[in-house]
Formats: sequence, structure tokens, C-alpha cells
Amino acid sequence: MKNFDADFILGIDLGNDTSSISCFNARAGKPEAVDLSGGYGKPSAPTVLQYLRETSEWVFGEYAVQNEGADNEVLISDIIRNLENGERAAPYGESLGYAEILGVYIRELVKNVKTLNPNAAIAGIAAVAPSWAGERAKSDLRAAFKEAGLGDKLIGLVSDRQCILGRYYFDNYQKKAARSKIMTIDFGSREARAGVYEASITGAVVNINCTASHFDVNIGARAINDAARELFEKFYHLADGGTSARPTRQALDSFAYKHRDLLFQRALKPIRLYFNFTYPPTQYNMSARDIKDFVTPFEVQLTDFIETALKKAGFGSKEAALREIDDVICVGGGFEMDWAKKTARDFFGEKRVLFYKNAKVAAAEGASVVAAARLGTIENFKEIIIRDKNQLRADIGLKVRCLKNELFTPLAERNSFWWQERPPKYVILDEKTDAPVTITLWKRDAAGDVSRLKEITLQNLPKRPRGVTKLKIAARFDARDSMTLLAEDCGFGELFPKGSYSQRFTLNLDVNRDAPDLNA
Amino acid sequence: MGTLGFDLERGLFLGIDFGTTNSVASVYNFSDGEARTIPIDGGNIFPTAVQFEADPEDDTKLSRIFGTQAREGAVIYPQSTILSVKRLLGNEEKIEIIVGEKKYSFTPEQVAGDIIGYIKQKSDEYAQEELNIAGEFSGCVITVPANSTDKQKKKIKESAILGGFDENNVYLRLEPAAAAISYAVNETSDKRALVYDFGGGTFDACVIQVKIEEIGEPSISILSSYGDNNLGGNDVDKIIIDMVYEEFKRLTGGEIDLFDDEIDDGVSKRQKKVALVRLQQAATQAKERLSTAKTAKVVLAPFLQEPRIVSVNMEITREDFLAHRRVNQLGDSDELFEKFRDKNVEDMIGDTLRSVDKCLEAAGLTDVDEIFLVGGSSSIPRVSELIKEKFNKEPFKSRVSPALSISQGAAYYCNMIMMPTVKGPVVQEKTIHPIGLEIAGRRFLEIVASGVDIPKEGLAIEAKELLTTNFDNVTSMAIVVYENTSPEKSDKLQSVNSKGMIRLAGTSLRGIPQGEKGKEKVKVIFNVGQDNMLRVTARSMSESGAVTELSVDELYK
Repeated sequence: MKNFDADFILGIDLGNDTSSISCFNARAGKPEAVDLSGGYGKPSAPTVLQYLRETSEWVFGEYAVQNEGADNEVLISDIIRNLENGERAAPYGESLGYAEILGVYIRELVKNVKTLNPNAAIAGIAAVAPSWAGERAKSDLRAAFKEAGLGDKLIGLVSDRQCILGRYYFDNYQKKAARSKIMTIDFGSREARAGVYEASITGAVVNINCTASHFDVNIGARAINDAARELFEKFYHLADGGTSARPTRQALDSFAYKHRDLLFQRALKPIRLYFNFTYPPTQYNMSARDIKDFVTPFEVQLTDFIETALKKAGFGSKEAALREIDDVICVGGGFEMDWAKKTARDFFGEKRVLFYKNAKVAAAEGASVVAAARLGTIENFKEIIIRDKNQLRADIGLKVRCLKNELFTPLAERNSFWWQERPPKYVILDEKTDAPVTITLWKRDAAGDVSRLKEITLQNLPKRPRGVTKLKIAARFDARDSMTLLAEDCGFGELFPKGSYSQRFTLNLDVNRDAPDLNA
Repeated sequence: MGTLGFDLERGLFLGIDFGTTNSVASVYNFSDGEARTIPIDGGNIFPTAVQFEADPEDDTKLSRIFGTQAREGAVIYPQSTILSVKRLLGNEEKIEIIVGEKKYSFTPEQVAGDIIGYIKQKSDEYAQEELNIAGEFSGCVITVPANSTDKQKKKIKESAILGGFDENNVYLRLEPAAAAISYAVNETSDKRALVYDFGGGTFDACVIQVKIEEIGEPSISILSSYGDNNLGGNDVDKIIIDMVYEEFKRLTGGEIDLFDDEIDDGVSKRQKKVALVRLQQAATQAKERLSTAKTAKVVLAPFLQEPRIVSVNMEITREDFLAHRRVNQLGDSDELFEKFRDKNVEDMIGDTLRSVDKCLEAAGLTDVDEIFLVGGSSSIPRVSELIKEKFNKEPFKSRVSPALSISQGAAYYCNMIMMPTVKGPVVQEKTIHPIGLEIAGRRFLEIVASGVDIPKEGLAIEAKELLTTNFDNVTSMAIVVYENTSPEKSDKLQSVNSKGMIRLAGTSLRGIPQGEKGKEKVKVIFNVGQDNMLRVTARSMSESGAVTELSVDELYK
């Protein structure tokens, strides 16, 4: 076993709304959350940066949110979402890619670790990547770490599910039976995700099969926070009788940020809302009934979500699910809300539901465990391997010539779920189209080896010379074993206007079978 | 999810850091052997604030609102909200509030008791809902600043009892010592460390020694502690308040005095109170921002509305903030203002470093292996810089947040009280300063030396020599107890008038039979408890057997 007592082994979870870091305490043999609030005990910080033009400095996290509008600053949020979209921003005139911006954020985030022990070095970092993240998103994440000067410390990107289950199995490795059935519910900021897994322990490796997964973008914690902000705004207007000016968005955001805890993290008790950001200050007394009315629809939504997830996993009834599932792991910032915890407890019963001390940090803690395992500091526990029949085991795509090279261009990326939406690709045919054109679909495995998968023939293309037929090709899965390819003519300038050509191919392409030996 | 064990020997104890600005409660979780902070009203940090209002169901009664809501409510209801009550503990003066038209008055310990009671109630609920414990917290370990007077300690104990804890189960521990424990629990090597605790209202320094026992558990000894009860983040805030007030004076031509309610300057009392609460909040926010950014804006627009609109809109740079010397009294007492007049933040940090020197001197050290920063005010970047300059090493912050470490340390203490037989860190309590009696010639007779281990049952030390009467036919003898915070390295007895001597208590032993001087002899026993409370017993050795006992209870009744 290697000794990293004096060095930091980090797990970093970069979320679109909040981020967190965990440090694996090799001495105590457990992951610990790092304070990101300047000493006030909050283990997560908003994924927000503020650039102060006058002093050319970056402010990160909570201070950036709370002081929004206080200076001549540029506030950058939605960093992860924009990273995926390939957007750019120009906080000081110069255009920056979001990978560079995320790099700045990571640098600021990691500074907090130094306060634990200013003399320690970083031994390695595992970063959480969403299960559905494709190669592009992953390469941007890697680029961001490089930008932060930590490229050489990055041990790897670990899927969120590996982190959550890694955290769980690290705690329960000795206690758990060799086989068990686990459910995870990740109540994140953008969506809620659930999965049902069958796990078996073989030596130092936990092999996990995902038997069902479910997600819903309508019940993310962010949507609830937005609704809370609207509610606060409504009460603000009720409190001042419509006499004061409309509050600035910054003032309301900052107010909502400070009062969210009061609203969500305690049992339904009346709250005094003091709107001190306006002058003269006003007040609204929010009753327990107001809070109940606000929270109830979300409770119903979460219960429905859990029921649907169980149905998808093939449980005939709730009772059957309760009989078979050993533990339900609840993670994500959503479960820091009192009502959400209560809903899960009421549904599953007290004993089966497991909440971590810091629900938001569980993924980062899991990542630090994975990092520690990979660095060889943990005995008896090495790796979590998840097989998900709903996840593509290989990239599926086309070979496209670019200058003199032939490049593999994925239409559907490895690790993405079959039900995900995929952006189309645009290609130009390198041959005349007076006869049917046959193109080959390829698959690329994790090792980068590309092999032939299927051939499709494009028929009835508009007749055009070589190099002027531009096609839009989109891939979509209708079921786990059924992929549809849609090819459409895009036209080519004024000389070759868009024609009516459109052809659909349904291919029997089991995501598991076509790449049986791969994993995240 | 871990649950607490049920086989507790002394009931369940809560660790409370009752701070000037914020309070934190933690519990020791037996299942994972860790202290866990209890979120109260959703946050780990609970503002030490209470707001009174008429009970909606019975307007002859008062109801109370606590924490964040009270702190925010202070802007609208400054006359019925109490902030920073800890600074008032030990004062005889009552706190007056106005609800509606009615005036009410409370002792500081009643108000502190209300707040502690709310913390207890929320912690009881948490224990039941999250830790599956039936029952409630019967006892607590509540922390006090290192330099608290016995009277302040007594008042905080009284507050905890008023808050609902069992009279015999309220333990006091020193704040820096508690913080030290939360750091030391994970230590695996012997070391001496300095805990630098710059809180909201007080500054404390404490030198600890960690020794790893054979079984691998750390044994922690407090070698010395030293502090300043009137130096904290609130005083740093006042630098920014002073800067803003200077700007305000410029805008108003010095015609309005916000700190004088009685003066007729056209601004109502209520308006002045509201303005001051807003100013305080803006100053705190600007100070916190200056910990991470180089500039902060203070915008109070409008700051006053009548007799004319006055708006403040100023930018403060970190350099200005560190360099500004205070010029306004800002409602402080003359004594307190004298302490901070013409001082800047650098000077204040300098004062803390002088306390550090005294603490090191008392421990007989010139250097330590590690320095830990505790308390919200230690987040000021200049603190780390100056400490680094002084010790030539980077100070540590904790894996535990600096703001939570005191309460978590108190929770470890709880474990030692609740389950003394269970393994875990052990704190070896020691006496901090020599304590003794005044004897003839106004000299100090040391009875309890510094650095003596205090066993669980308390430390009982008998004066080596019996005291004798100095005059013929006296029937009483003065028993006056002093603490010597600056012991001299000399065999000569120090005068009780010398610097560093603190008179702790005094009483008289009456009923000594008349006789020649020197005939009657009196035996004195000092009993120091683990909570650093002192009880002195003086007994006449003659047949009369007159006895007097001196303790905090007797002193301040």
C-alpha cells in the first residue's frame, strides 16, 4: 500500500450550478469534504466566476453570487453547460473558450485545499464526469484541468455513477453480502436520475450491472430554486404593496440564495422574509401553509419519479421493490432539502434509505475514493466496474476525409445512453450521385480501434457532380437495439438548392452486443 | 447512516460554541467516531440573534424569532432585536427592548438562555429525526473565551441552564482548547501547536501539546492560553464603519450624529437605529468580500431619508481598509474607544500577535511545530501573511472549517464526558496560570502552580503552610485569591499589585477565636475543577473550626 499521508488525493465534482472537492484523508482512511466558503462550513460553492474589470481579478463561488452587481464586474455562470455547447465568452475583451474559463474556476477551487495544509502537494485528482458525457465534453474537461495547471495531476475522469457507488462500496465493502441490489437516486441541479443495480464483489473489484435507469429534467433542484425565487419575488411585491421599484435580478438572486436554506432545510415552519435590499425595507410573513403549498407539488413529482424508476426496473409493485432492494442511496443537492429527504424516507422506509452527511459532496467524495484506489492507497478495494445495457459501448460513426487524412466522426458516442438526443453531422459526398452511394458505418472501441459495423446505401439522391452533395446525417435510437439513421439533402449553394431527398434506415444494432467488451 | 449508541453513561451531551456573532452546535457520533455539526434552520452557522414580538395569540406575551430571521429583522425592528448578547454577559445592566409601545427588560443571561434554548430544541429535533435517538440532550459542553472572567463563565453556565440543560450537566471549556481538539484528533505524531482563534468578539491564543499514546490515540495538553476579550471581527468591522461614517460626516457636514439618540438633529431614533444596523451589515459584507477581492463597494442608497435624503456610495480597496485608522467612537464605551482610537487593522493583528507572544512565553516556548487558524476573522488574508512572517511557516486551516472547529471540539469533549471508557482523544486538563492568596505585605503566595494536571475529580491542593493571624485578638481573616498571569522567574514573592495579577475573589473567614497574633492557624485548600472553576476552602484549625468557602457562586450572588 502506498503512503500518501502528506499529500492531497482529490475528487472534484464540477456541476453546472455548484461544485465541490473532497480530499481523501489517507491517514484516517476516509474521504472528507473541503470547505469552500472561506471557513463557514459549506462544502460546495456555486460554479460561478466574477471578473472585476477594474482590478483584473477573478472572484469565485459564493462571494461572486452574493456580491453580484456590487462592482463593475462580469459574472460568468452556466460554465459547464456552455462548455458542452462549445460557447465562448469575453470577460475582458479577449474571447475565451469555456474550457479556459473552467480552468480559472478549477484553479480557484483547488486553492481552498491549500488551506488544509499549505505544505502538501497534490498526489492526484479524479474528476467526476456525467455518465452521458461524450468524448468532446471529456476532452474539454481535460483541457480545463490543463488550463488550471493540473493536467499532469488528473488521474482520470470517473462517471458520476462510479463515484456514487464507489463511495457506497468503500464504506460497505466489508459489511456487504457478495451480491446485492442497490438503487441510486441522484437529485442534481439539472435533473433527477435514478438507477437500479445488481452488484457482485469479486476480490477487490465490484462488478455492477445497471438493470434500469430513469431521468427527468423537470425536477432538478435548479427548477425548484428558480420557483423559490419567483415565490420570493411574488411575496416581495405583496409586502410592499407594489409601491417600490421592481427589484434587480441580482438583489433577488442574492436574497434567494441566502433564504433558500430557511425555506427548504427545515420542517415546514413559518418564515419572516425581510426584504432589506429595498428602501425602506419591507417584510412578508410566510406561513407554514404557504410553504406547504409550494413544496407539495415537488413532493408529488419526486414520488412519481421514484415510482416510474421502479416500474422501469421491472418491479411489479412497490412492495416487490421494497422486498428486493437492499439499499437506496440518495445523493445530490436536492436531498439537502428537508421535504425531499422526508419523501424518500416515507417511500422506502427509514432503514433502506441512506443519506450522506453532505448530499451534494457524495460524488466528489466517491471520486476521491476512486483516485485513492487507483493510486494504490486503499487495501481490498480497487475498482467499480459498471455495465449498463443502456449505454453505448462504442462510438458509432462515419469515416470522413479531412485534407489528406481519413477521420472517424462519431454519430453516437460511447457511454451515451441510447435515449439521448444527438446532434446531426454534416458531410459532403466525395462522388457523383447519379447512382446509389454506399457508405459504411464504423464503430470505435475504447482502445481507439475502428472496425466495420454496417453498410447503408443511399438511393434516389439528387443527381449532382462529385463534391457538391451536402447531407445532414442524424442518428437516433428508438430502443436499445434499434438505431435509426436519417439522411437529408442540405443543398449546396445557389446552383444546387436543397432537394427533397430524405432517407431513413432502421438498423438492428444492439448497443451491448455491438461492443460487448467495453466500459466507461 | 450512523446512529448514536444508546448505552450512554451520562445522557446525551451537545457541544455548543456560543459565539458573539454566530453559534454552532455539534454532536459526537459514536458510529463513525466523528463530531457532526447540526444544521440549525438549514445552516451550520446560526446567527446569535433574537427578535422579540408580541405573541399573535396573546399580546400580553412575547414570542421570539431566532437566527437568520432575527438578524435580518434587525433592520426593520432594531429596538426589539438583540445581537451580540455574548458581549453583555457579565454586565449587571439589563437589556431594554421595545415591542410596539411597550418596554421590556431582560438580563443578558435570560436572552442568551433563550437563544441556547432554541439551539437545544433544534438539536433535539435533529437527534430524533436524523440520528434516531429518542430523548433529548440533557447536558452540554459550552465553550468560553480563554480570558473570560469567572463572572462571565458563571453567567454563561446560567444561560445554558436557563436554556434547558440539567444544572449538573453543563460543562465549560475554553474555546481555543476546544478548537485545538478538533485539529488534534487526526494527529499521528507528537507536536506542539499554536491555536490562533480570531473570532467575532474575542481573540484567543492557545498552545497545545499533542502526544500520541501507545494505543495510537492523541493525548492533548493545554500548555497555555491567553486572549483579549475585547478584540474580534466586530472591531475589524468598525474600521469599515468608521470609513463609511467619515464619508457620511462629509456628506452631512457633520450635522447628524447617528450614535446620539438624544440630540435633536432632525433624525428620529428609529431611523438612526435602522441606519446603524444597515451600516453594520454592509460593513460585514464588505469585510468578507475584501478577504477574497481587492475592492468592495458599500452602497446604502438612501442611507437616510429625513430630514433629507443622504446616500452613501463608496468603494473601499483592501489597502485603504488595512491602513485606515479609526477616528470615531461609534457608540463604544470611552474605555473601549481608547483601545482602538487611531488603530488600524494591522495594529489589531499586531495586538493579536502580542497575545500570541504572551501565550508562548507562558508555555515557555519561542516556536511551535504548527499554527492553526480558527474563527471567521482569521480569514483576513493579512492575518495569514503576518503569521507567516512571524513564524516563517505557513499557518494551517483545518479540515474542519475554522468556524465549526470550536463546536466540534466541544463535541469531542462531550464524548469524553458521556463515554469516558470509550477510546478517543483524551484531553489532559492542566492549570493555566498560578493561583494563590494574598498574604501579609500584599504579597502573592502561590498555592496552585501552572501546568499541573487536573484529574477528572478535580485538583485539590492544600497550601504548604498554614496561615496565621497577623494581629492580636482578630476574629476574622481576609481570604483574597489572585491569578498570576505574568509569573516572574524569581524566588521572591511577587506583589499582588504587580502587572498581570488578577484579583479573582475575596471573602473573610469569620469566627476565629481571639488570641495572640500567630496563635490561630488556618488551613487553605484550593480545588480546581476541570472546567477551570475554583473553590477555596479556609478552615480555622482551632476548636471553633470556623470554615469559609469561596467560589464563584458565593462571590457573585
